[in-house]
Amino acid sequence: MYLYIRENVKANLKADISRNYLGLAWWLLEPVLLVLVFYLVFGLLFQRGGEYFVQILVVGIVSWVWFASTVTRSTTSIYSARFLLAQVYLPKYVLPVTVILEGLIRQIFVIAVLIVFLVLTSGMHGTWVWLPVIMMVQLLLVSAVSLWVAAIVPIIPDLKFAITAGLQALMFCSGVFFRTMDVPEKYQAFLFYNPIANIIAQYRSVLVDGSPPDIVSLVNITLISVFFSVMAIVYIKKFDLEYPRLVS
Amino acid sequence: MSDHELIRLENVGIRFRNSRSLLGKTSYEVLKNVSFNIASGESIGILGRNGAGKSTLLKVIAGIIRPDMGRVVNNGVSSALLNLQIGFKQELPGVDNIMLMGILFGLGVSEIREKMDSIIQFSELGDAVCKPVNTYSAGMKARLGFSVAINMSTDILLVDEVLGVGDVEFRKKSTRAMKDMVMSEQTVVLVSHQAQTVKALCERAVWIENGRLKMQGAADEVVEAYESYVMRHPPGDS
Repeated sequence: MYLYIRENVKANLKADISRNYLGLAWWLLEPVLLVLVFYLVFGLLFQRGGEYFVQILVVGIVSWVWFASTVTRSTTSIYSARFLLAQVYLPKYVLPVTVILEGLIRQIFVIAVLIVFLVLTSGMHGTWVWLPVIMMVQLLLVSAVSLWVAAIVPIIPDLKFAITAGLQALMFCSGVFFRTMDVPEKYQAFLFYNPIANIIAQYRSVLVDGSPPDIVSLVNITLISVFFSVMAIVYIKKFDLEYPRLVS
Repeated sequence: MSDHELIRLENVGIRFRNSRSLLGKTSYEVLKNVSFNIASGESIGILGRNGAGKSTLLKVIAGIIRPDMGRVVNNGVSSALLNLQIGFKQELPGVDNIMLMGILFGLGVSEIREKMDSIIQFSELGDAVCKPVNTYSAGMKARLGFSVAINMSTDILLVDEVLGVGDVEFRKKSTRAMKDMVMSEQTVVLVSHQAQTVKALCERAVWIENGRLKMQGAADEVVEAYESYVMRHPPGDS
């Protein structure tokens, strides 16, 4: 199955690049447009910016878009393979795993561009060595959520809409366009328990502030994500031969 | 021709849940108590009217879905199912789809590269094979699907109503290729509601009526019984 995942990811990325006129630039355009919107609204209209607002915004959005787009694509990963599943046996976990890996590869490209942007606008920090570690933790978090939505949506198709709305709500609770520390203290704990808000805060401290990450949080998120990822795969395997009937 | 048994179905039953809403869980039986076996090298035709459960039966044989009742004994054979809703990835070019399908059917990358030319040639797609599948016409997709499936050399080839695809030329060509398959040692299970196709291509036939096995045996006998039954009970009569 490794072979299938590899060839599938390769072919999809290749198609992605060659399909549109702008190709690779689309991977950047989505976060860039979001940054622009939030910058206009909060930076210019509300004057809520502050020092390094653009950097904070860009870091938040880059990691949010990775999370949100992979989760969104995973919701339909099994459903959109329904004709294939009617034709040949295929372990179903392969489908979301393909989506997750594609997302990771795009993100590596986007992060490389982000690094260039930060070097040009705010300077480097020694704490950047933590970046791969935080990305690894986020990958595990993205996997846990993506595998679960992929597993559940074919069984309860209506959830697809709830997930779209949920992601929207989550974005506003994750400090994508503000810093956790700018929120009134009584609400900060609430944001702290939101793993994606936590990860975004870690990226910011490492990339923009030059201070080390909160290791305890990273370890906690890693453990919880690994646990839920494994559970999701067990669940998908249990229903392996049910999915073709559910989606056909 | 050996009698080595590849797959055995024992009292297979499939129950589909009708509605997926929270209220009311109605279900209906698509297949009930179906038993037969498939030996290596033989060609079996599955007859039955629309909605009799033929396509579901093929999926059970292919190991894509699990029966709710009874069991399927698979003696370690691989199978490829060819149907009209080909599972191509629409946004990928034909060549990539051939590669991915090949891997799923158990071939290695180099093996697929070897077969690539003959698959493309058989499909008559020419340069279009490098364009995304969603730019293809229905006939082109069907041609590609057929070409991939007959080149996969799986132990069993399961064919679901695809012999009528494409233009007249390709129809002739695909029927001829199917005949060659049947003549060779390839094990073929062919689903059709056209009894004459089964008679022409298969040695043995299985007749499914309303999800139950009505008759099985030599193809010409089963076809004859099926045709006279259909004559006496026109569709909608059952």
